[in-house]
Amino acid sequence: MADRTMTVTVSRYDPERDSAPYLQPYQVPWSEKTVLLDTLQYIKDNLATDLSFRSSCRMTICGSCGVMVNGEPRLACKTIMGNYQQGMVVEPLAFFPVERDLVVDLSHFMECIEAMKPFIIGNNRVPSDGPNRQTPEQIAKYHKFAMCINCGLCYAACPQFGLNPAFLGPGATALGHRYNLDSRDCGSTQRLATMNTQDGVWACTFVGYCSEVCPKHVDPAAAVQQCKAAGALDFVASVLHCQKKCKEGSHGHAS
Amino acid sequence: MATRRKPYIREVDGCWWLRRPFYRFYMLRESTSLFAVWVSLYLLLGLLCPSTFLKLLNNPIVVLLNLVALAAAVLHTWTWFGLVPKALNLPEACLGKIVKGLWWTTAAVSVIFLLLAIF
Repeated sequence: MADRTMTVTVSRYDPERDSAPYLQPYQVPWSEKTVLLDTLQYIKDNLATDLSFRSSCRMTICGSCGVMVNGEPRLACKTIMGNYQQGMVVEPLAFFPVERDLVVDLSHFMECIEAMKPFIIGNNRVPSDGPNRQTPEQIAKYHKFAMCINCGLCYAACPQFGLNPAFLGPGATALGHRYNLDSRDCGSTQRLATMNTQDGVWACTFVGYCSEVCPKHVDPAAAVQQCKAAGALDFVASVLHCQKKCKEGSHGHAS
Repeated sequence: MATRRKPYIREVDGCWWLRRPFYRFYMLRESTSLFAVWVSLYLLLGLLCPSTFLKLLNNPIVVLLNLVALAAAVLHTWTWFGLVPKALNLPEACLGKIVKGLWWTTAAVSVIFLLLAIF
């Protein structure tokens, strides 16, 4: 840290003491290399030892340190203090319940990820079959969606998630879509059953801010729209299949 | 031991869309549908009562509304074509060609309808 200082206002909330979060300003030093995560650690070490926030890798890999910076969802480890010399307000990720200070309850997000069954389904290969090779084109189909680090920034950017907390959300959908597009996977029918519901992809109104804030350029908005298209095609196919079955059934009765 | 958790739920008020430029533009994009409703109702009037339709066509308020509706349609088209690539999981080169094709088709159809209306 260097000699220059700036004001960082942090949202504080102690569930045992406070009825609602409040903003607390702190005067902190900064240099060209300082990121918000360093600043939060400085505040915890020197100014407010009871400040709670999540962090781990410090290098945009773990996705733990998501916060709102001046109302925009960002990773604290990727936010350079020099870009906010006029001051910044740091709050917990929007739309999630606040547990304490900058820590939010991500249970719903985790449940949505679990519901998406993010693993290869229905592939009967055994180790003796050797590696399950894919062409570059097959990998390119899903590679972008495989970069998600589950940081939850896309949920904090999604007003539909704020208005409807049961919404499956962009991050989990992108993860499910990643496996649906994988040539080694045969589980898309199971995932589409969860996606193709009122609180699934159809709750999305294509605001698109989720893709703007994604630190790994996953483009979850694209994943949701592609799942809508897949869901619609799946519905049409099921109706046609049902009509065919009904016709076969009526012919069967006639004979 | 009883839990001391007390998660604080932040309510989302009706003004959420005013807080970020991205949300404001999203609402502008979606509000273009209101002018589509106006044009639909006005065309319906043309079918039900052609004389009133023609009389109102020179009304300054109707002219203004129609001009705003045209601007809204152009804005909606621009945003719609911009979002098309997201719904298609295709290579970048293909997506560029598709969007260009959509713009050329729109221009061609618009010119054909304009010529039909003039002649």
